[in-house]
Amino acid sequence: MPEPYLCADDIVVRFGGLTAVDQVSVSVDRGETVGIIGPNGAGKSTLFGAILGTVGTAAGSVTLAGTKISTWPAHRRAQAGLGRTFQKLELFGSMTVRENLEFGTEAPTLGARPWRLLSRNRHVATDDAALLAAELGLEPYLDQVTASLPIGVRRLVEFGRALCARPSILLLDEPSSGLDETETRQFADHIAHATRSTSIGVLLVEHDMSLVLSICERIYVLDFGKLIASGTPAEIQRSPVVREAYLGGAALGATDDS
Amino acid sequence: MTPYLPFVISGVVVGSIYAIAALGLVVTYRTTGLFNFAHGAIGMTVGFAWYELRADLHIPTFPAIAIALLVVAPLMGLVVDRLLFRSLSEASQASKIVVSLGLLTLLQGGVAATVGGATKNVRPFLPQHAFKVVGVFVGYDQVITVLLSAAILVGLLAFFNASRMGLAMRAVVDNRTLAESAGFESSRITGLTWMLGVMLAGAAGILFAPLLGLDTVTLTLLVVQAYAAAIFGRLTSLPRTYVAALVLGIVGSLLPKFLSHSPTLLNGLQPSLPFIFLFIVLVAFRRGSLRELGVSAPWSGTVRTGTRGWLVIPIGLLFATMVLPASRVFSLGVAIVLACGLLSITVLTGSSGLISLTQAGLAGVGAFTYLHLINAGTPFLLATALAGLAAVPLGIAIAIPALRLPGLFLALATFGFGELIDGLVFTGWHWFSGGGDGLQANRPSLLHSDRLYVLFLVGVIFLYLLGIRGLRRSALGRTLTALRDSPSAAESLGVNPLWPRLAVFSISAMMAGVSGALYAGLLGVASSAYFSVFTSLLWVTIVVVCGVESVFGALLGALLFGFLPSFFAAGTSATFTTWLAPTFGLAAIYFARRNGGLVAVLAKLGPQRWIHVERRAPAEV
Repeated sequence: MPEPYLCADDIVVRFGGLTAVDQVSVSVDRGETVGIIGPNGAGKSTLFGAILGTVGTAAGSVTLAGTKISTWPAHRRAQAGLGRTFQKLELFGSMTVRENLEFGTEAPTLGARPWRLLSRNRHVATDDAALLAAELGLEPYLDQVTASLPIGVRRLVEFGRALCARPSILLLDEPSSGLDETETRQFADHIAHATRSTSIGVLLVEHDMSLVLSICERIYVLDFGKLIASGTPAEIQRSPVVREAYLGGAALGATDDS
Repeated sequence: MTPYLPFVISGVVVGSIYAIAALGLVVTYRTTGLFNFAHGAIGMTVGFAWYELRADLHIPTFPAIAIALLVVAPLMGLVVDRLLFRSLSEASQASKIVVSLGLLTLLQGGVAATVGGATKNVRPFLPQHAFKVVGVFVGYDQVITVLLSAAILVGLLAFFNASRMGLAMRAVVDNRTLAESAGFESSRITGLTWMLGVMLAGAAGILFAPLLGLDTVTLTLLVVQAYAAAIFGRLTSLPRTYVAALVLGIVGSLLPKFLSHSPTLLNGLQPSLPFIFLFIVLVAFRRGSLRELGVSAPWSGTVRTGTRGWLVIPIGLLFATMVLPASRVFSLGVAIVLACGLLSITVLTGSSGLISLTQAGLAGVGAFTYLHLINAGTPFLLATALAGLAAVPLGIAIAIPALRLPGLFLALATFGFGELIDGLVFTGWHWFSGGGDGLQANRPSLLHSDRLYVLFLVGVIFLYLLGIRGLRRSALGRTLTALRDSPSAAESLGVNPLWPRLAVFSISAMMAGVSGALYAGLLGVASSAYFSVFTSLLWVTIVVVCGVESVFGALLGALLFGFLPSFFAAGTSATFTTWLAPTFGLAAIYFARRNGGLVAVLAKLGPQRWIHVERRAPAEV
């Protein structure tokens, strides 16, 4: 069996004396949607940072398409095909939606070939960006500056911008935070559509249990920096260890009914 | 050992005073997340307050010190906290830097305009008699200074580690809301911190006064020694900062002993010591180990100021050059040259949000290179271009270690570098800068008259504006905007922040270098005084006040500082310029958080067809 496209093996991250992530291994293949859940402070975001190269690791390795990328800086990992969104939105606030999307298309080329910075901005990216904007329903906002848009739209712009860079694996950091129930459901549809149509792999950290259970094929559960369970949504919902750690005994999936 | 011991002792004394200043800097930075470039200027102001109390009001020395440190300093601290920095807790790092630079310019310019530029000699106030230890005389004043400094360190450590208020101060910078919810009132805490910071700066200023004399420049630049030590403590550790300050003092004091055979090297090395220190730290520290404290929003994520109608500038200048009387044309030339220097800041800060504090130094390098080349018979245009290129490797050398790090460190490194150019190149290398008299060269015969030369300048500024327009439309321009709005998002899309930043920094350095050559060409002479680190600070202040996003801002500033004074009589003109600088310092504090500057204000009043300002709604958090 071939190795999954993205593998993080035995990742250890320490902050001073605190071990934030302790020998955690996760993997995502193309076309697959995988979730990471766990209570606050479980080390989810830190693990994300370790995979993306924004947090230094004490041990472990990250492999993308068979190449070890653990020592690479974040921008090089991005060029190699790791995309991301942020829990706290990181848009280019003074740019329009169109410019944000177009920059997403251009950025990997500009990063890999810095001399192109001196070329004129030719807007080669326009077609891709327009197509994606149509898919995500962003057309009415294309020429508006992102800073003034409602949060649901901004989340979609960030997602679209990451897709424009044509990642092979996309890491989503709490994509539903700040969204209402309807928006969250729509967002889930967009994620599912993206994995189907472009065969990218998605790894998401999420609080919203209904979103994770509905779109993820596999789920990892972190607690106190350790991996305590992994499996299909059904297995995770049944697991007594997970119930104990995550919900203090209550059944998983019950939260969205209340 | 004995021949070195006296030097070590005086080094420890000087280092102890550095330490007092540096500890104050660390205390304010780590509690407020705001790096105070005006720390030295504040110490200088308290020092002068004490001097005036003693000299003019005839208050005896020690009561005067008590009033200066226990009344004046805390009041200043409160004012600084309430009026300037309170509203900045969530502003961008660039805004914070500009506010403290504005305060520096205000205090330095204001005190200099009030008391004059001459150094005041201050008679020692600590006991002068000495005793002999292992064959070396040690003064009681030296012992007192060292013990005082050590006591301050111990006191601060005890305060931060043991007291509830100290704990609160540490909590506030991490998370203001959380600290407040835990029952700490953050406004009281930052107020207290600023009082403490100003008192420490003032104490250092007063202790230095008998050693160095009191003048507005030396003590203002004390901040460079202080932050060189503080950065060694990663801007947060008090003990490491203290040790680094002592080492800095000792090395500085031992240098004359070791380099007595080479006064040139000594004269250059001594003032540049803090920069060398700083440079080593910037190169040596791993990426990520030097971080900015506190929240930093992007420089101006919400406003875009277009520069539609920029052609008005070269056309207007061309017209003015033709019709103005001969006596005014020269002043117009001064303004255009200044505009070129200011545009080098517009390019850098307006597009990337980065702040360089050595632009005038780079202009100086350009000016002297140009004069040497002309005197060696180089054709005039080639000399101008080469002068611009000469500034680039220098700019790059300083920028590379700093550009890996957050924006604050570029400001710190360039400030230190500006002082290094001042000390080593301009003052130290007489062969290069011609010493106090400067260097001379004739204008090319073709452009001998003022009017012809100024026409040439109009041509150059046209090229500058064309270049800026091209940059804004290039992929580089868009990448810089992206990096300014959100560095982490740009990186997550595959952009290596180093290349675009290095590119814009080089362009900016070249523009500064050429502006220096133009200055030298216009005046036929250049001396280092014009290119001091204070000129760099003033330039940044002018650009921020007049409008950093628009080329009209640089032009407006240049006309105000370069052209307007020529309309006053000689005496009035001097007064005007003297007071204009601190006024702009004050204005910079106001405009640091408001986009667009004076140009945007003017645009709203009138010519909106020419100066196009798009104002956009602020982001909700």
